[in-house]
Amino acid sequence: MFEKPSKLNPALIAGLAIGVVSGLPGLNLINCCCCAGIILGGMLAVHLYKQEFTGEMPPMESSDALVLGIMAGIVGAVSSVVVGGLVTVLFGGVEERFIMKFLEEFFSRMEESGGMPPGSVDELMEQMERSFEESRTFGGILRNLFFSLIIYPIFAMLGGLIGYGLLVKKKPAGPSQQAQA
Amino acid sequence: MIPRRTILVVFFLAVLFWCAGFLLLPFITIAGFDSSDGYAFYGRVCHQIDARSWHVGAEPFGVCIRCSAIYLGALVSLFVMLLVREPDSRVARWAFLVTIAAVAFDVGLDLLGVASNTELSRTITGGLAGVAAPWFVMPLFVDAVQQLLRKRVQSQQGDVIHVRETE
Repeated sequence: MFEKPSKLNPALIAGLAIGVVSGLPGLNLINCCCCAGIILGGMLAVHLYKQEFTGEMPPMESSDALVLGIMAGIVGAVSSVVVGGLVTVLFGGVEERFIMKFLEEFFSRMEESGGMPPGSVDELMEQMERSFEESRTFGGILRNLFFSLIIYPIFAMLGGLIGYGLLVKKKPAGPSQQAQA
Repeated sequence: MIPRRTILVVFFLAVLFWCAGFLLLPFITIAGFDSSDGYAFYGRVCHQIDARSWHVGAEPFGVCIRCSAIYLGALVSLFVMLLVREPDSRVARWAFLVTIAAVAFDVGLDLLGVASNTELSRTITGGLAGVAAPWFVMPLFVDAVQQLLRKRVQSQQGDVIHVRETE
């Protein structure tokens, strides 16, 4: 009997994707929408894992998706902190100013079109500056890592299950599985 | 094997704890305690724009209106799931996809500057997505947990047999 493929590679790739999306300032705003970037990362892990299955292998199960999601979330949490740190070290103030300018213009346009109430842009910019300052301290990095290690596996697990529900075609249970149930 | 209901109760309690966290933050601030860590924690999953959040007095909840509606909708659904049978999985899947599309539509129109969303539209689309999500995700979660526990029991039994054979 063939065994299922290893979960390590898909979890690592999806986790790194989560890390890049969550670690890059500006791009990480996608996570403001109920952790959409992390949920999509969990779905990506399931999609990649599904590609590794051949006809002789036992079918993929929801427990595989759950474990994959948690693994991708843990990798994503660590890699997002690493990517965020690297970006700060490599680009420092230049990258920060670029992102701030881009976001300020974007949010100002939303404010002018009535999409955001007056005064929201200043408030957002203050929040962004605070988070930039915090992310440069050792305590800030540790706190980020701690929060990420709680949140990312949970949302990536949900993403994995959603991915399993949407992307994986369930095979009808065989006689042995029916007997087990 | 752990019954479906037990797994649902544990998950319901976890979501209740999560919701209590962001709902209590303004009360903690009003009581004079430091709630900045709590806001920073929920800040990982939400933009927390003050004008787009519900408030207690002048203090906002830990997440915005749409996120609050999603989580509270999910909490209500999980409670109802404890009382009734699950619907057809295809219905749950389509309900989930349609409500997610509604959220994306509401956000997209706003981002593109076509039409600004309102407190009501954010509450309704978020709430519906929150209500629909558990009916789609929870059967998969329950199934996954039961599979993992079954495998664990099987591997423990395998270990016992292996030890007896070596003795």
